[in-house]
Amino acid sequence: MSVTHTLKRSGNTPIQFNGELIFERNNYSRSVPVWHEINVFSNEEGGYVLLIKSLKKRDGDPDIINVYKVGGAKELIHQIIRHDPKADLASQIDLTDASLSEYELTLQATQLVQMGATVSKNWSAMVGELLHDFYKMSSAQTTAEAA
Amino acid sequence: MEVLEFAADDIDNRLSESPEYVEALPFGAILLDRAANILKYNKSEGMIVGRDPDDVIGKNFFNDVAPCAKGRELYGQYQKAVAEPACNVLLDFTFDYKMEPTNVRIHLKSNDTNQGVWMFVKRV
Repeated sequence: MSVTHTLKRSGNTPIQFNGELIFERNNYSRSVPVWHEINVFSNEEGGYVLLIKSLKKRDGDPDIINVYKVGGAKELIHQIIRHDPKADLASQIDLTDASLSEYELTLQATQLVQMGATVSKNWSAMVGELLHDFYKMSSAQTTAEAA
Repeated sequence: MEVLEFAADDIDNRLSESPEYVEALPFGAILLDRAANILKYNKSEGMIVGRDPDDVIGKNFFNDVAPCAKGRELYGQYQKAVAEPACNVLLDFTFDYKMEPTNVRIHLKSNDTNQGVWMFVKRV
């Protein structure tokens, strides 16, 4: 059912459109301090609106919300695939702390790299599931239209 | 004032009759509308999770306050509650969005979802 949606965006004014939420996925994990949520809406112009939230558990780390309006399925898939889930990771390393030893800095940097790898892996798993469901839905629609 | 117990079967009816009891509850109480917007949020809940009730009333519970619940059992049970005429479900949950992980037991309760769905919350 088409309704009016108003989506908050980081660093920009909210975006408003009439459409329907067709997919909603997230890759929350108890053990990872960052997770992503993807919402896909179809809009009344025949295109899609893609919402990608980067959510952080730690108080003080800002969540980042990106919204993309795209004209069709190909552009939607391209936009999802090109999104870098590590881009919004917050580093916990305090580079102004002169008391940190080289070992401690290396350790924290290693932890950040490992978290980035986990975030990427979780993102890939979610995107794979989402695109699989999207293809199934698109195939079903094509079949129904042909019949 | 009588004491309302956590997970009591008639708690939503009692709060309909005496809405002022909600602030006297020794556990958290959140009333959500059918779109999961927060209608009521008592002080006890604010103390459990460290939030000011005035900051969260009117916000969407699953988008703005507890996105950690999305896609998990609590979200599913809430959606089921909205789709059905009544609900009475107990489940365990851990809130960890912008706060230290906090284990709670949640009682989702409603006799008429047009009046909203109550979420009662107790630390475990």
